[in-house]
Amino acid sequence: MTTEDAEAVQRAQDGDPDAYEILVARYTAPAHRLAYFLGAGGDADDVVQEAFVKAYRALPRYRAGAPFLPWLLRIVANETKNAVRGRKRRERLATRALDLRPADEPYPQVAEAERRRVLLESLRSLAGKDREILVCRYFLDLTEAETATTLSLPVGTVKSRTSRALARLRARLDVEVLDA
Amino acid sequence: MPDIERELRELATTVVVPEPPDVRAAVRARIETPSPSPVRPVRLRWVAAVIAALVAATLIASPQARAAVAHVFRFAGVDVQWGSNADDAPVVPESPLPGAEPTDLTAAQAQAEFEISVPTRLGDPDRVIVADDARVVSLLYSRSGRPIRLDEFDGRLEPIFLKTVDAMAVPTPLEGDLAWWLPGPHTVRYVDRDGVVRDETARLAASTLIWESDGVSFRLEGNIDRAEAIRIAESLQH
Repeated sequence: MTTEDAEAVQRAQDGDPDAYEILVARYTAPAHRLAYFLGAGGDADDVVQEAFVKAYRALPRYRAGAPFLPWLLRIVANETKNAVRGRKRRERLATRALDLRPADEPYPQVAEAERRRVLLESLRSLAGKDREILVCRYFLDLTEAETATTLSLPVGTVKSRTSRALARLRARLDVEVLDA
Repeated sequence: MPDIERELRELATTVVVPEPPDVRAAVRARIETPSPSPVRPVRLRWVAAVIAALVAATLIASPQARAAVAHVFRFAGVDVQWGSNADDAPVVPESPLPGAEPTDLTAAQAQAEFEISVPTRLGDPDRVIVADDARVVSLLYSRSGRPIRLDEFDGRLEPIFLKTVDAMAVPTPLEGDLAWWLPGPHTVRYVDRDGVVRDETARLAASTLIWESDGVSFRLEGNIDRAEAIRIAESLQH
């Protein structure tokens, strides 16, 4: 955790709303990104707001020195589940969230664009649990330990599921490339 | 072939993500208003009750049990409490699990936040019950007229599972993890994801194996011996 985070958390714990606002501003983007990719859909904004309020109220239980972001993201992940009840519904929203931006260039590299499309398609086809881990690791750039905290999983599970999911993606891409 | 991890990171930059909201004002307005939280005092009272229970358990436990308490305390979010009989335990309201309803495996999995595991040794359950907003899923079996029950608890967010037993728990290795073999009926107390303490009285007057795997806590009840309980536990599959 950065020193700035530690200071802001400490001051927020002492009841300084300005300090907490610094944390809110700093971490709204990753919180929102996680909620969106975990299937919060149209509720993502509300989830973020609710998570920050809950995190503030949970600050007395926050362990000094622990990294703030994964602690917050764990609340976001749980809040997403509270907001969108039903695993299937969330799964649907989470897969729908994986969508490519229209190409910026008028003539994108066809092979590259195709490969990206296949990768995204493979990512969508993964089991939700595996996809959530890859989203944390590669879309939010979290470490294995941060991912474990965020998703309330043991680090060993994050490791094993990551390698299993990556192997599946590789296999899928190889097939598509051979077919092409 | 390009590294798949690098490709995924690149993919992240080309995926559409809506603009994050500015929640600063809304959050500030809400945190500056004292929260009308009816949950908190209740929760604190429960925490106090749990602490009292543990202190009581430690005081009345045998020296052997007392020595084991420190170990048990950290096991899988499961706390095991000893007493010479149930009367020694603090008052535990015997409320049934909230919202228990019969269902089937597919429907239960659609509701539950965790992956339900089925012991291949027992096969598909005769009945499935989900309870407490699908935080608890129970698989019910009947083998030669003898009931066997497997309760699966969503063990995230450090749940406490307080059990009152009248005999010594036997630590039992289970696929590298530790399970606990407990003879006799008991009450289970656990804390759900929102931090609310829930009680579940024993369903079967039978022996129990409890263990934890992948963030989920399990309780297997039935008139079976320890070896059979372990075989069942080891046959779990998602």
